[in-house]
Amino acid sequence: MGLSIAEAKRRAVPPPFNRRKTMTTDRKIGLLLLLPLVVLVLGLTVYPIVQVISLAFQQQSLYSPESTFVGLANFNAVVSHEGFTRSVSNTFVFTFGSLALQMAMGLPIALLLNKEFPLRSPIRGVMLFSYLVPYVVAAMTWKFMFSDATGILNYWVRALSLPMPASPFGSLDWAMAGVIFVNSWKNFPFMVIVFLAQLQTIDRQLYEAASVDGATAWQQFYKITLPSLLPIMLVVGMLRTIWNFNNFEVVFLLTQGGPIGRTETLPLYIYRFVFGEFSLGRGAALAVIVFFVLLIMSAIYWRLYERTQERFK
Amino acid sequence: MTAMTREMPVLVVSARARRAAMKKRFEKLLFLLAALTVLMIVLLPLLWMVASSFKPNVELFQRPPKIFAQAPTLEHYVELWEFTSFPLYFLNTFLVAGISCLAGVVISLFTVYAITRFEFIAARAFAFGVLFIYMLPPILLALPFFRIWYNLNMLNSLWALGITYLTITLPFSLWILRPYIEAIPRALEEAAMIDGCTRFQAFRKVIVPQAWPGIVASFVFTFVVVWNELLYSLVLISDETKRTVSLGIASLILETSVYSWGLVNAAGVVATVPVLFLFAFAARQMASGIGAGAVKG
Amino acid sequence: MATIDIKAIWKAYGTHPVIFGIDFAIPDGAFVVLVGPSGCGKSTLLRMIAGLEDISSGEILIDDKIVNDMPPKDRDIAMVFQNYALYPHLTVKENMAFSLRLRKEKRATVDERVNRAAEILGLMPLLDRYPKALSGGQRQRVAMGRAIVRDASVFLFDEPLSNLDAKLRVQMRTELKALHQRLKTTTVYVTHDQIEAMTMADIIVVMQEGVIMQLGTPLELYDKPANRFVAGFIGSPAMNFFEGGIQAGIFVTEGGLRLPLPVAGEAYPGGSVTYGIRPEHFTVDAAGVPARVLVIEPTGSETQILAEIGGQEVLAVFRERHALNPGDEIRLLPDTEQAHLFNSKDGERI
Repeated sequence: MGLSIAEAKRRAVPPPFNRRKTMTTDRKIGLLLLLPLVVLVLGLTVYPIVQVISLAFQQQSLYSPESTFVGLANFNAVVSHEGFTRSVSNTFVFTFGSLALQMAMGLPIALLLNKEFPLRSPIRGVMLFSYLVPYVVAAMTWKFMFSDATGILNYWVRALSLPMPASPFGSLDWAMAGVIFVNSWKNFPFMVIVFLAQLQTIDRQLYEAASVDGATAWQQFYKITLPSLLPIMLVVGMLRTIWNFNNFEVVFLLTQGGPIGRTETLPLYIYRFVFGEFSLGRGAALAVIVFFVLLIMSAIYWRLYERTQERFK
Repeated sequence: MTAMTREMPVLVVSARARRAAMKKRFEKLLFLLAALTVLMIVLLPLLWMVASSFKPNVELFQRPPKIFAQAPTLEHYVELWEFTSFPLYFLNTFLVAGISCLAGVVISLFTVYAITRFEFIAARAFAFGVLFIYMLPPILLALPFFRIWYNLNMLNSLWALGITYLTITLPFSLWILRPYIEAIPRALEEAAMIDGCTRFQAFRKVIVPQAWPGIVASFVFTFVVVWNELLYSLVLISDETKRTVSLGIASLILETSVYSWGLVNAAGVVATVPVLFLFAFAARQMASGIGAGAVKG
Repeated sequence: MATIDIKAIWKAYGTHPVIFGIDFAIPDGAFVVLVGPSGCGKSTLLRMIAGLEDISSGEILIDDKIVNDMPPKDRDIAMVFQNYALYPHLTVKENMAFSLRLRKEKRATVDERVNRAAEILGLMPLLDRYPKALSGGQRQRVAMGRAIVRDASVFLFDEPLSNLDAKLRVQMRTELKALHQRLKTTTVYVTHDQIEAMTMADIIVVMQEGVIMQLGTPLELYDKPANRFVAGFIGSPAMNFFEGGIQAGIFVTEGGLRLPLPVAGEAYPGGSVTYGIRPEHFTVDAAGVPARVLVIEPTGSETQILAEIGGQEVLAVFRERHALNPGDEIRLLPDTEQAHLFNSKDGERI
């Protein structure tokens, strides 16, 4: 008994391994478990996307079954429509204005909540409230507070003669700032949660070492905290950019795109095309455009993210 | 006792150390004050909503506005309950959220289990791809969904709405559940199978209890998201009796006159309470998760 | 109680084989240890016996029944995992009772058997604790308890001691051995630690790269290693090897070092040969080969000496004490009867 490995392997005659035969019942169960997801994704995502793309090339009214192929006519129509450039620029102002404000609120608050103080964990919990409440509630409270005759903020703006309109959502110059503010108020806690989670992973010893080395608080933030937050900032930035870009509720509930289109972003513009003017084809063409814009922006973020990952490796 | 204290060295707290401790305590207080201030930005609008929901209509128009009601009343809640369809909207929303969240969690559980245990490489990539759905503009999907349900004559169907919401609940619960299931050691199931379980029994008796905090978390989070959703219900539901809570409030804001703010505030409070309640429940469930100690690690 | 027969077992992932047609039989009540470096296929083989891994080709029989397509639960086996795999949501008692409950045993029977196992393993005070509140050694015992209550006909152990600290490992080794002597259940035990194999096994199966290198009792493996791999793997500290050839009845290395041959080697025709001698088979003797002392490590009961012989480092172990210092020139004499010769080409024993 006892062979060299080479000898043993040489003497052993391998039986035919049949790949198909090695598919056991157990694996079949596995495949069966995957089936519902596959069916749902095909039915609920792939098929609708194919639909929307094909609709974009058709002349199609909302409720009529007839449709005709019109090539790029829908794209031409929506792009040359007077509202298009306006809603594109509105969308970018809304998206990045909200992103900036959300970051500006989220980062310092996360840093604050990362400090040690009494009642920290209940405060962290309550800080999430505005993120948890429905959009309708968020929009309603702010709309109510600025409403004529009943709004508390409306009253104080007048009483203190603050340099802003008492009902900003109806003001040509302030409506966009208003919707950006409410969108940020609603969503900044998301940033707080993510940043806090990341801050807690930073090794405390780094700070101790830095303070032994004589780094000031600002240097510690700049040299330790910020670099370790940067990758997650990009990820969160990408998510929030996409979500802000797609956001329909805030604007719809507060201004419905008004006054005179000053806050009409692309999702509202699409909604108006389809459900106001019943032009499904043009709405679909716009939706496809939105989709590709998002794709390009995600790709840019992804590049940036990869580059920071490389740098910190 | 006395002998011992006599022998103890006298601890001298230097003035410097005492000052440092004082400074630290002062800092903590400062942080607390700052945090409370910031908290007010979040909380004040919501508190104002709650306070206003108890004010009689006369007081809502009082100038300058008072924070608390002089003559608190439940009239808005009574009106909401008796003279609007909100009780029905609640039922509708629970039904829709129930369908989509339960289905989402169960299907995610199957999927994640299959991809983590059976090493289907293509399936793994596919499941990651599902996360991408969450990035799609809802308005992009709303158009074809309107078409599809219209063609199937299922506009204004709560089932159709629930199935549509799977595009939200599935990616979300997949994303939440995956780490929970991946963290369960395979040996645990193998031990169960050797102990006499079939694969299904091992799933039920070992995987489900182990993943329970994740199951609760994904159910709660998807429930909250669906509860708060507006666009799909706006597009797919026009029948007044099939509205969800969000859609009901949206209609109140968009359609009604200034005189019903008390009612709107009451509706807002009622729509918010289940969300906060569920969230608190989930936080407790997740904190008490018994995940540690499965294997030495 | 059961016998296990492994017949021409192959395991392949896709068409890439990792176990090459292994054959051996385990008699009823034996304690068999599968040992080898990591990746040698020992755990895969154990998992095939357990039914956790598909068999690509060949047959496994437990008590003369082919179990290839039998799910693990029907094989009447109990297994202890490397990481214990205790159910975290169940108490110690519930963990141990899990399999009995599944079989719908009567409550009284369950309690009685759990208590008996807990008694044997000293787990009585811990029965209501959860696994996370136990130490490593306690978890190990619970895992064993879970196997014992089953009254299974085969015990499988997958590196059960590798997560314990050294002292606990020695203690558990003894306990496991005592347990086997008490229960006499057929046991297959996988480890990468040859000391565990030597101390516990009735039969050791040494594996490498999916092939059995040697099968035998611990002393057979120590005294007559079938090849160079087994010779180097079994025994601690490891055997010393010299490469060279045989000239006129004497082993000669390229460097000109000459060592006396065991009787078996004298008639060997030629070709390159590996000469193996265990550290404990050297004596300090004027008739030996010249060596220069490099490091001396006394452990009290014995002394390990690292020396240089013919440009090569050699380890020797002595029970008696020698007054030596690093740099000393001494002469070391190998015990010819204990030397081993291997064919350098294929590593086989001559």
